[in-house]
Amino acid sequence: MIRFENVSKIYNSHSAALKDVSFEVNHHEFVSVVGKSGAGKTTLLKLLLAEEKPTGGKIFFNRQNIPTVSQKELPILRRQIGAIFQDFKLLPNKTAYENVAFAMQVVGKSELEIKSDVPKVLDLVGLKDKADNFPRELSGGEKQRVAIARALVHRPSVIVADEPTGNLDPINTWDIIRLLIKINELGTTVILATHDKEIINALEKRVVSLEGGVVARDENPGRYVMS
Amino acid sequence: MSTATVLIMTVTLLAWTSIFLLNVVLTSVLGVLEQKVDISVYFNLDAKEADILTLKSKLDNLEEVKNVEYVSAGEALKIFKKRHSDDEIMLKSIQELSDNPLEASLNVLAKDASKYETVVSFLGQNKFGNIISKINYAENKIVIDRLGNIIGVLRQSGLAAGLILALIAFLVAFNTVRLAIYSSREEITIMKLVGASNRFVRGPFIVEGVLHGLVSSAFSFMVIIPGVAVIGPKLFNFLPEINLVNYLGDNFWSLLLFQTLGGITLGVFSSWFAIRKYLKV
Repeated sequence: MIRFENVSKIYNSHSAALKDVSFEVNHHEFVSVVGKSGAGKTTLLKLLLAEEKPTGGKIFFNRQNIPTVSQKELPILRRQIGAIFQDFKLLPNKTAYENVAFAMQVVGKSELEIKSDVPKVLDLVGLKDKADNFPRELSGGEKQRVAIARALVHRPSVIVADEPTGNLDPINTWDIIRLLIKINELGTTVILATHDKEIINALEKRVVSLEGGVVARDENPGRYVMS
Repeated sequence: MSTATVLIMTVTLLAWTSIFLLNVVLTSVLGVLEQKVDISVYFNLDAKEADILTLKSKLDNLEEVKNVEYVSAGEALKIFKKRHSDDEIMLKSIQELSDNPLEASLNVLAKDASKYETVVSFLGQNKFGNIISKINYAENKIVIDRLGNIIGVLRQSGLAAGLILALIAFLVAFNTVRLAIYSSREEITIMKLVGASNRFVRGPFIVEGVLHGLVSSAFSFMVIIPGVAVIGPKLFNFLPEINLVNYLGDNFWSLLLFQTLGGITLGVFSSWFAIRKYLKV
């Protein structure tokens, strides 16, 4: 479904963020991408979201090579990939409900669809009662659940999460991870980038380890190994 | 932020319109001044009226000449008497004389100040040269030349200063819009990441640009109308040839149209260019 082929990304001539990275992610898989800060996790996900272009190599999403997707088709591609970030990226002046509805308005969904879909997805992430709260009135874990609801509302085939628990305490962290597992069980591919050793070791799912921009290990099930 | 943008754009439009109105005033002042520069050709007392009129028609045929006015000796006396009507001594001394001491003259108005040289040389080489007693060109020459220079310099420097000022005003307005959009960059990025098309992201900002243009054009006119109402009559007292109030009345709709178009263009253009940077996500 997603295939990295000899992908490299060089920001400046001294260091490469990614060197000759190749791996494949299948439908309904739950893959963790692990590594220390600076190992290239975020770069990898940015390339997948077409936020940045690789210096070399190909990234396939189904049949499309992402770096060659035109500006016009990019929005359509992004609606199939739900993204979750460490800093949530919620709009501070919109309520939880509006933040999710916003993602639907943006792609031109009707008010009717929005009214029926948003409560469902908020219910799924367990935020039915907090729909009218603003992000500043929500805890970190709740904010991240709003962000997950927003990512899910397009019914994407894959969820890409970049350090989603980086700003959360252990209890909230596990809430989010359990939610991601639930989403995965409902049939959505999940790619989770993290450096949280405990999560990785408890998950017992496939792990792709990045070290200095290269794939050091790719094991299923894998463990977090400090090198 | 929106208030600041509208205010800056209002000031910009005010600057543009003021420069334009100033240019209108300047051009008509220069026109008026040019009209006032003429040369007078005085004839000997014994010159025959027929000869003078022949010369007048020849001058009329010259390409450089706009208008020639004949003032006969009799008319010159009338004008003289009228001008000194409250000067007893002057009137009495004129009455003492049996003959009219004043000379007939032709007032020649050229198409522009630089053409007088040609007119004077034409008068000099003409066979009527012997009936001419005096041409006041020499004494006017310095004034005429200087005025010609000033007119030229004013036109050029006025245009240059106007363009520079208009450009500065534009850059300030553009920067203000850029700042406003900079503060929305987070929102733009989020929209892009959840799959909004560029058109969808840009739309509201373009509409906002149009609204800013409309509102600031209205504000600007609200300042210009009272401004002209105050300055116009003062200018009219000073230079009766320039009626700014009438000018504004006659050109109200076209001025409003151009200013509104200017405002909308400024708003839309600024938004369009300022947002480009943040769409590349």
